Amino acid sequence: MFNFITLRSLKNRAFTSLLCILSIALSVMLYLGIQRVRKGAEDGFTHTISQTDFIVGAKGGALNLLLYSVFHLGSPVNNVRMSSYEEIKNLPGVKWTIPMSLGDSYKGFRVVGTDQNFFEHYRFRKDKKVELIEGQIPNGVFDVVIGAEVAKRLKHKVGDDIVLTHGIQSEGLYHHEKTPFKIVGILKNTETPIDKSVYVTLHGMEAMHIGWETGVPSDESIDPNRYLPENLEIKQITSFMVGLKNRIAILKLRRFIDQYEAEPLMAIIPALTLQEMWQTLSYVEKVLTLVGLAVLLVGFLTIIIALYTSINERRKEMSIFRSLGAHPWQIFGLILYESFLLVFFGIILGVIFLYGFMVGLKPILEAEFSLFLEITALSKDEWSFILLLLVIAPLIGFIPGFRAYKNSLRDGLS
Amino acid sequence: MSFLKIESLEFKYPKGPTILSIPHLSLEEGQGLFLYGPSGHGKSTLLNLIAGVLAVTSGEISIGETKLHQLSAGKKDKWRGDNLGYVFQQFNLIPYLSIFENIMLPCQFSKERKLKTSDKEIHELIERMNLSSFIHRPVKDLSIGQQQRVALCRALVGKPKLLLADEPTSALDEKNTTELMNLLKEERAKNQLTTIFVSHDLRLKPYFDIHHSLVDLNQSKLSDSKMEAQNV
Ligand SMILES: Nc1ncnc2c1ncn2[C@@H]1O[C@H](COP(=O)(O)OP(=O)(O)O)[C@@H](O)[C@H]1O
Ligand SMILES: [Mg+2]
Repeated sequence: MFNFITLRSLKNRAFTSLLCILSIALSVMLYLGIQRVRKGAEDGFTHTISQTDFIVGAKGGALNLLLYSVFHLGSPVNNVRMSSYEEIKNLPGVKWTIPMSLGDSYKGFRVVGTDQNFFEHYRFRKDKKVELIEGQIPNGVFDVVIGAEVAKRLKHKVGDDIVLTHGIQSEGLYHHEKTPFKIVGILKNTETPIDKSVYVTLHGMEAMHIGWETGVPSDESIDPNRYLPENLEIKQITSFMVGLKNRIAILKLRRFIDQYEAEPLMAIIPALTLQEMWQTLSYVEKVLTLVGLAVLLVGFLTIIIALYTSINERRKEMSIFRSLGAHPWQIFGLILYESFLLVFFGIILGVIFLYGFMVGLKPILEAEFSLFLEITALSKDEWSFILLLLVIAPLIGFIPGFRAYKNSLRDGLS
Repeated sequence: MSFLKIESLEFKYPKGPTILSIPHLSLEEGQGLFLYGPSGHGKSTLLNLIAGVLAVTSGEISIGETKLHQLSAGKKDKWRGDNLGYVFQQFNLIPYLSIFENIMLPCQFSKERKLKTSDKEIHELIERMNLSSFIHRPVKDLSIGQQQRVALCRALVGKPKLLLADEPTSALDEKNTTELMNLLKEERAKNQLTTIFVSHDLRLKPYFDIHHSLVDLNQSKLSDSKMEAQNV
């Protein structure tokens, strides 16, 4: 019954009403936006690697192993013998393995030596596969495939020859000049560290280090026969990923690896380690949520102030309603309903803003921050948040409403 | 059996002296009472008491079957919305609502009022008040005389049992006053509408059956010595 009175009354004070709606809209947009960015960052982070049950490397820090194997940050303390890799690879519960050999770079991007298993079994963002937009996966000894970001920044094309650098310093001193690689493929954008990496075969990794036994290139020329795959012997890798046939074997296999006799190894469960790592960053998340809530509080205060100041101007109006039979409680309800409507319209506008900004900022967030935000419908959490606001909405009308109520009791009709 | 009956009514505002002390006042259904007296003597206060906006300090007010002095505040509000029409010196229209929306306001607050009337009756009433061509216009587009006709129209919507008018003509010029009084007379006759009309303009007396001076009705000492002193 208040419907048209309330709408007209809000329209009558259009400017203040609009400011209130706008302030709620901005708060809602900011709060939901912050949550989405946070969720996007968390997903982007924890979904960098999926479906891998273990990462195995030399004994050391769990975080370190995760960082160099998945994020290509930092460096390993030790290697894993090829014989150990072969043994674990052939254990009955193991479905697949992805070997990784690290330690070189190309113009600041990491070089990863691996085999076709990487292209077949590696998954990120739940079930996404590594795909090529052009060319094929590395097969020959001197084949190289580059990540999307590498291709974009260095403007490389399939067919280009490149020379890799020894070591991972961005300004490495020595280059593998005798063993240039040919780009045979370019990977599709993944929004993960893969984009900033360069992939060669394990054989290629071995081949470019022939003659580097002392850590520096030798001057002697090398017999080209030594570069043939059948003559290349791979003795060690840096770490490897493991997928199991059945998850039930996780604990048993982990114990086996942690107590491996031939050399000290360790196995981490990437999903867990990622989660732990994100937890250590969770204060950022808390700060962001607090900022969002503070903004929301300001929005609510704006409505309280606007309605409260309007109460005095509207004393006459209220007393007219009373003369027409309105209860003081109805006067109270009228104000509550106004605050509800302001919040209601604010939420609608805020959600529109949210999607507007998401559409507008998506390319920038992806390009500049590698933040991958899917434009999805409102989630269950977001709906509950909105519902909560709608419950709070009439409550913030309480203070001005009570004031109007008391006025209307005190003022007679005149 | 009188329609309106006041017995031993006493009233004072909180912290103030007794303003009204009326031993007896009664009115038959359909009668019109003209209540006059200088300003500051409690005419509006009395109307507020009859409307149930203010509560008597002691004494009784009954209207029809309803013993107003016994009702809770909430019941009084409902009773007022259902049974009362009120016209004021200021027209008390809501500026941001259209003429029609203003007229329909009583039906917003009272279901009973809404049920007692029909669209056809409302439009006839608006027609009789010469407002048909304005109903969707904003209030500010109207002349003063038209605004008071809207206020009267609003008070009459949904067939109230009792009409209270508090100096409704004091802002009007003579022509508009005559027009309003004639309209009121017609509507009262049509619906047998019991009316209490407050004014200090004694020329309006002939429009009503009964005439009382509040100074005579009121036994409160305030109304004689103190108030006189205040007003001098
Ligand atoms: N809300 C109020 N609180 C206290 N005193 C009031 C109030 N309203 C009116 N009065 C006092 O009551 C007396 C009667 O006022 P009122 O009923 O408005 O007289 P009238 O309508 O005859 O001019 C005046 O002295 C006035 O000052
Ligand atoms: Mg008065």
